Amino acid sequence: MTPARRLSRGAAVAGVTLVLSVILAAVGFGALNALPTASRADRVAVRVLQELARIRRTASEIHLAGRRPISATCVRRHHRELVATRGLRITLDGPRIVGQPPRSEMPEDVVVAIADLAVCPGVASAELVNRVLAGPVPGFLELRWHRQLAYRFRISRDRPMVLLYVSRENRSPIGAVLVGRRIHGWSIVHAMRTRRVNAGLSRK
Amino acid sequence: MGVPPPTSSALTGEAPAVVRPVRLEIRRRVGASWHKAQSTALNTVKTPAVRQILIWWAASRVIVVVSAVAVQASGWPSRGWSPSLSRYPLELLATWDGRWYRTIAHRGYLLIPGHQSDPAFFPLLPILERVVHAAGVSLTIGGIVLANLGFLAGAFIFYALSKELLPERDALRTVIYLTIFPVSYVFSMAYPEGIVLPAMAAAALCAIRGRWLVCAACVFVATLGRPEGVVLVIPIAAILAKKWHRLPLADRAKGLTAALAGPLAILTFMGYLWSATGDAFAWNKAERIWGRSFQLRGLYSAGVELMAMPRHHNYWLLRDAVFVAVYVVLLLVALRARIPWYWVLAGAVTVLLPLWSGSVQSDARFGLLSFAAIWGLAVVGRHRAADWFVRIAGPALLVAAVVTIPLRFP
Repeated sequence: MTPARRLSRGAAVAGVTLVLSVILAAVGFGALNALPTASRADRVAVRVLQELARIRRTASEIHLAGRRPISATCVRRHHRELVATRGLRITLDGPRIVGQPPRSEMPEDVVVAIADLAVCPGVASAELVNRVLAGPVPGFLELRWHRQLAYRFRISRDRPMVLLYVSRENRSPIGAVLVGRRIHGWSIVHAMRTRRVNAGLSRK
Repeated sequence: MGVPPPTSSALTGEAPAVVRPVRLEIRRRVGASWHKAQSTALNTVKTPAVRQILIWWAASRVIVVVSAVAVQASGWPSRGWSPSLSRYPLELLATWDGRWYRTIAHRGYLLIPGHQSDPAFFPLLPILERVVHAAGVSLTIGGIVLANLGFLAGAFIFYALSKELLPERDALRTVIYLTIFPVSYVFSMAYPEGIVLPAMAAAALCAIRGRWLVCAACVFVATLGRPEGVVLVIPIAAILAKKWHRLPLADRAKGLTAALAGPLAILTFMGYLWSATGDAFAWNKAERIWGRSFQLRGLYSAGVELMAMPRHHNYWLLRDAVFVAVYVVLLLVALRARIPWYWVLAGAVTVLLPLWSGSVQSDARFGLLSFAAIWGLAVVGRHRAADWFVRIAGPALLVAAVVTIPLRFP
């Protein structure tokens, strides 16, 4: 067999292989499209989770019904989060409260409400992941929150209901609403990504 | 085919060697066409073998299902996990990864950065679950039914494949051992192994018989079910290389397509992930969060994980490590029994390559698709004592494996 003929035979085999492979891949890709695609709510929630992972600190103004507004900050400390207000420190491990003031100082449901409305990134992230994994994220809406374009998610499974509001511009949290049986309230949140900004704010 | 030597042993569970006169008569009458048809995969499975395979498949599945129902009904080991039998029947067989496949079928792929997510799981089972779900069957039950029926089909095709490489007795023993293998409970769970087994066995059988297009389709399907399907590139390429000079041009192209079908399926899956999640490497990223990423020091990391086992009380790793050792021994037995080197190599890659991802976890399950290891076990079973041992210990360990499922992430 001459080299030219061998080359043409090789090219023919490669060409047919390529055509068959393309057909196989196209049929396979078509079959894969039988799967559903994630909803817009889920995709937005994933982007919010990415943003929450970057946030190191939040400062919030919490309004609980029948009480004066409370200023709170939440910072990350060694895989835990610390919510601090005047005269109150709450330590959180994921969504669980692991350290709180003596009961005599503040009712337990108020402590829980403050922990929820402070929108610690770890807490919000853990709750939102649970909602995403369980199926379409509930309570998703595109709306305006305090004159900002925002997305809304429900991040708690049941009562008290906690609604998280995030900016449509940068997906960082801008507020939360809590509706419980005996207590309800809302908060305005400022989220900060870096230590440098945190340090500046903490001196104010 | 020939008449098998006269032997009948209820113990070994092999086909009685009595050829009935009626069958001989049919053979004479049908003549040449019968012999032609005999070469097809279906007809290579003889009626007594069909009966044996059906009995062993049914018995082993009854063991798995009854054990699962008993565990669920008793609420063992913790009262915290006790889904009601009437509302969630066979929930135990749909736990672990079964939940993730169900999520994909229900919601599609979604990569959640920094958290365990579903792009780590391959799409074949969720696609089939959706097809069954469209007929009104729940995703959970659909997954379990698909796995069990797939395993039955896989048992027959694996028998036909085994007969190409081993004597008929060994081939039958291979399938019997596979049905009662301690880890074979995953063939009854909402896992893809049950449907990947027939696809892989059919791909191998078609490669041996030179049906390259069907082989390519089977490899593609198998790889969309489990990444182990890619390993078929080794035996298919070896078989193709052997036959290359005798093949016409068209068959060479078909053979090459079959050899490349596994990697092609992976690329197709990556393309789909890119369109669905915006990230073609979502699979790798999700696997990393699940604790798996291929690296040079992966084997060392797997060893470190094994050493740290007592500290983390993760004794499941020990089970997986024991099975890896057993698979390696069986692969050596298969090599010694003159199973072609490329099957043994493919089996070794199936069992050992996952160790380079940094974990021993689940390797017992991965090894189920290492055909050469199961053939090695069948060779060991030529000894009467070993045969007895496997047939008694297998079902007992199968029960133990099912009963202990809720001990880990119920």
